[in-house]
Amino acid sequence: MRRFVFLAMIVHLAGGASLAQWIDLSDVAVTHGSSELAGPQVVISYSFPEVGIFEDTPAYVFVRYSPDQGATWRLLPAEFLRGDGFDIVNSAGPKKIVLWGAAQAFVSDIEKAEFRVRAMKVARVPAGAFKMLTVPGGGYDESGADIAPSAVPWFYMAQYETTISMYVDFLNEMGGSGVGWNDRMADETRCGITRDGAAPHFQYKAAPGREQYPVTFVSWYAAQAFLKWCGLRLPTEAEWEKAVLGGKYLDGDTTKRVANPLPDRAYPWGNEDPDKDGSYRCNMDGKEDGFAYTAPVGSFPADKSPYGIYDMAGNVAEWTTNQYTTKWHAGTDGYRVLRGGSWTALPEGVDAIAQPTMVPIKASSFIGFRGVKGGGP
Amino acid sequence: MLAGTSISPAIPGCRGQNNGGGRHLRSPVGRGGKCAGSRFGRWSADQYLLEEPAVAGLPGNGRVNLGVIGLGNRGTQLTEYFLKRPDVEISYLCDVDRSKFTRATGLVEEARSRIPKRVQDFRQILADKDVDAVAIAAGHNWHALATIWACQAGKDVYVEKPMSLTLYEGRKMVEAARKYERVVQVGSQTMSAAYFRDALDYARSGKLGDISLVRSQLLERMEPKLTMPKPGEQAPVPKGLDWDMWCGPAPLRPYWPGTWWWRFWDYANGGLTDHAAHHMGMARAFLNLPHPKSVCSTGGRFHVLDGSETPDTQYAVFQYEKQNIVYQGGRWLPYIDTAYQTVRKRDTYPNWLRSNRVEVLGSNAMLVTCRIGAGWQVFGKEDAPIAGGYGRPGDELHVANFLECMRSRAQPNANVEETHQAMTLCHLMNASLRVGGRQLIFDAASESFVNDDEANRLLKREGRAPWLIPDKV
Repeated sequence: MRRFVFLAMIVHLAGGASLAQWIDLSDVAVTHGSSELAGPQVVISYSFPEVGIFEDTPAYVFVRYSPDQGATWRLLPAEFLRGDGFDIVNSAGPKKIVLWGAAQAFVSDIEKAEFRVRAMKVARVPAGAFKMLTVPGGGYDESGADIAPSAVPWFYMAQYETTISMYVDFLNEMGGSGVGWNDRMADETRCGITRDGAAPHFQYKAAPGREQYPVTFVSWYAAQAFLKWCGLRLPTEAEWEKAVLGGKYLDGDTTKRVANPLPDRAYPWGNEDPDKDGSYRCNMDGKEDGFAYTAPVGSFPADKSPYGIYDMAGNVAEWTTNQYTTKWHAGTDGYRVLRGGSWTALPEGVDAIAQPTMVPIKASSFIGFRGVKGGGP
Repeated sequence: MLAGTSISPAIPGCRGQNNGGGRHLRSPVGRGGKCAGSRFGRWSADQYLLEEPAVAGLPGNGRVNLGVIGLGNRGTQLTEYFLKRPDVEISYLCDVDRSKFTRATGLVEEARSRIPKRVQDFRQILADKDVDAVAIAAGHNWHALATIWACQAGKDVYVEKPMSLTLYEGRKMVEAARKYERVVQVGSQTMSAAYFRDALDYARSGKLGDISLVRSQLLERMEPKLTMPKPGEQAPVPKGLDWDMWCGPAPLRPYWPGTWWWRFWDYANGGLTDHAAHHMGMARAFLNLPHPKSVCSTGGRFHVLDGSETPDTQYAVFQYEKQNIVYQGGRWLPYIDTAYQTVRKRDTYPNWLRSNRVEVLGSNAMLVTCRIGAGWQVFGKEDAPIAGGYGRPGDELHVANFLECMRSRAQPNANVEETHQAMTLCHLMNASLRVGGRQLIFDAASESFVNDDEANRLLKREGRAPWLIPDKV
């Protein structure tokens, strides 16, 4: 029996610049079956398009389901899934996601459930040594991570900052009562998400043309909520810094074939100033770089880390999990550390070690985020 | 360099766009912070914020055009406080480290939907005739000279505490404020806190009896051990940091990251004096007297042994005609509740025994209070308090008072003259400590010690060209 399946993300290439939303999955279908030994199963099949998916830059695919005709939606935990079409997918072609045990763990009437499958591009950052140039939390991280690690486990990081279109999907599933949205998001120069209707059935949409811009005006808490929604998490500072600097070996310590030529680079692209020779390598302060405010993600080909992750220098600064918390912050939730520059930053503020702090409730026009998977804090 | 240039003092507040007419500042300071009729009244800062200017007769109703100098934690906080005021436009942000602009720029962008000018050299702000005032939260070594230059440039000044590194610096700041008729307020925000004004009123009413002793107890938790450079060690100067200007009037030394400078006499007065600047201001306000006759101080660095020069333990006695101020300082007391978060925004009092505090001992009763919104209480012969009130920190009220005084040209709370008196207590006790703890006799008229050249040398520092405090402001 077919039920509902939604599609997701995409990457299309335009003039050498990568732009990102959810990847469009085609031929999606849901079938229900059962076996005497294993009970009912749900099989979601789809075709993954040719959008430049490789082992180093694969896609992250996740599934959400509604047990009540779309009234509420939940993430299907990956540990309940089998097949080759979920979590990290690194090749195009027909894929399957198999769900066993739904009646025991999720919904008693699985045939009435609806499913949505979404995919986004990520980049693999292999495990191994790297030279961290900063101290997490500036040395004031009372969560215990105040020593610069010399290595971090493998992880995958979103190639692009979370876009408005992605966040709108999140809001439409989760924000019916108004959570996750604030009226500043309607500002079309800095964000561009509008809201219609009334609680508890608010509906959201991206302002025309703003779909591929990074979402802004998101607090640390809202960023966490989005990432939980899609099964990801915020990066640690160490992960963020390794993603921009590269490890000692870019292919990781297992193979050690590709030595990092610039392990202490100043910027994702190397050491050239961001505006050297009048050529703008990222979206920073001023409109001379082509953008007075934020830019569509991936607009600056040079602003790409050794692993192929875009906009780590400019566009929007990004939330991390690390804290800056001292005795002065007792009784508060302290500060969170942002990494990366933004469209408001001077050239000196877009380097790999820029480490401003911000209270987690703050939702600003120059702050966004991206997710990671794997590894661990 | 702006020092010595001819400046004609302007009247700030007259410049700029009309913000709607008839909208004026409400007087924020005085007794207004408490609900009328409430002995332990609840306090709300919000009533002073986001109100349009509302006092008739002030010389201007335009917006105050402000530059913020120094964008560390405090400078960023000040940016936020000033941005809460609709009558303030922050047109400049300044830091010698160009990588430090993120937070403050974001705050301005968020509040005003525009990016302010960002400069590395604050003299660019002083040279802009459209700027009415500056808020100085740069390193302590810059407070005095930046204030003097700002006064010379015709700007009003909000300067963070501690206002001066030496007594001489403080004197020149006073002279500059007077000569150029500037409003100069020091960031001793407790002076604007409603609860503290109430406590002052009570003490000055005579209800405590004769006040002969004020005890200022600056007791804080263990200060962190800092990573100091080994001899000859230095780190590369980060891109975008003007290290020469960061050192400014202080000696130019090899770059080293971190907050080591906070505990070296050439760059700051140490953690104790940093907060003693508040406590001495409170203690002095209760006595309301000019300089003391003598000082004697002892102490040293006994607990956090990381190479810091400034003390972590200090005791001082100031002798007045018929009064004493006794000061005790320690920054290694883990059982002390500094009340920073537990009390500051709650209707509760600290456990005074385990708290920072200032005690005013009268012949009838004792008043105890503290900064950071601790409130105040008066105790007589019985256990139950006979008077008091909860408190809230005075930061935003202090900013409001500064802005009001910019318009009225009145002296603000914690004005430079009063705060120089308070800061002098810090300089005197540090001088006594540094000369081995001997009692120093102080001549108030000349602001120098009597017959003690060694101690007098500590009241002024040599400076470093071109960042010199001018003898004649």
